[in-house]
Amino acid sequence: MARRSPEEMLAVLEAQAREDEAFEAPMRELAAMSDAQLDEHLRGLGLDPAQLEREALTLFVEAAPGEAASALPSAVQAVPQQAGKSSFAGETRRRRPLAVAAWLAAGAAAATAGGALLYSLTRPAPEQPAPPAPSPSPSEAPSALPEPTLVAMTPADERKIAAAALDQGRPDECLRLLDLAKQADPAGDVAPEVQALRDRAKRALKDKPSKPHVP
Amino acid sequence: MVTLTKEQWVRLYKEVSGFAQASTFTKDKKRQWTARDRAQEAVQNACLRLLETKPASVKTYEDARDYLLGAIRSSLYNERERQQTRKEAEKEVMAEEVHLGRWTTPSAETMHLEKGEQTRSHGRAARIVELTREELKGDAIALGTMDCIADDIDKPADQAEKLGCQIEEVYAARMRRKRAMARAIARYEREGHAPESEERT
Repeated sequence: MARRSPEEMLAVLEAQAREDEAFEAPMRELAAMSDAQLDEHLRGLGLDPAQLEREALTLFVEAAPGEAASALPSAVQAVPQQAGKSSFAGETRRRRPLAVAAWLAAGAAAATAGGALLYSLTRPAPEQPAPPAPSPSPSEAPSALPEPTLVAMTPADERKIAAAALDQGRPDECLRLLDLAKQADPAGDVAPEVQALRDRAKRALKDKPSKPHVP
Repeated sequence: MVTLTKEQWVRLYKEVSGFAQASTFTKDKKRQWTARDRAQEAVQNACLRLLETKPASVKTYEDARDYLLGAIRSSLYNERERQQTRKEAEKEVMAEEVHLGRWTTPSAETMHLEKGEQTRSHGRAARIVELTREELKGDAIALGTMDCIADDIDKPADQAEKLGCQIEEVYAARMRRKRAMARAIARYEREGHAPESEERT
């Protein structure tokens, strides 16, 4: 079997590191959330945190591994919860009846809407307050997540970008990147130029005018 | 295997559930339910696998998270999809190389400069690989994956077979290796070497 040269090996390691970083970055964001923030985020994804908690307890604390498979309903909201003896793979195949139910529900909703429309056309409408703004669809929530970092940056790279961010008038971003670099390379953070950059960013942040209050 | 409190198991389960849902997210409304099912199925299968196999390498909360991520990854992205993606990426790189004219014959001066760069590049690569191995001291699976790569065995499934461990453990070891590599590069730069981008200019 051919032994790779160090360059070839490093190239493969770096490529896999980039792939792994892209995969892991969203997980780091979740791990940094508080319990309340995580629950809110899960709701945005259409998951029920309480149901997930029950599943976790069933799986890891209450049930023996052999029994755990059958004790796992899905936490995905609006999915009928059927605690059966079927394996999980079987549980997930029961989506087709949902489509029929959805069509029936849509038909009922359309009939109700038609009735309401007829009623509103035949009766003068009283003054109504403006409806609240629609909440974002749970399915769109993940798009609000920041883009994952696709390239594994070294602390030196992060410090360079931090300096550039400060030059562009973004001291908060500069400090954030310096903190990130410090986590991976604490020794590098005590370098005079890094400290100077940090001081400049802090001063700039302090001097940055706050947004004028619009009445 | 790791022992966690109730609260930690709940937190871990929620984290990986959120992660899997975000990973399978699709804007195509017709496929959203299928995507959610796939995600939750992957999470639950990963947890069951962790409980059934009780891998010895899972010693901390973070190890458990890495293991579950590896299992979810293995479940969500089958090898065929990854190969397809890789082929497409390789095609794109090749097209870019041709477009940028990098496939034309370089001048003598360029070749001379490239030779010097190759020597530096060889030294850098050898040192970073060495430092990464140092950082991974005692981590048999992660070091094993590096040996596999040196032997031209890149696929996680093949590595798992060679190392006699589960594919989930290989993925988890890759995460540890990635972090070790970042530390190794930082050490390399502290040794007085300029970052790669500066070396090339």
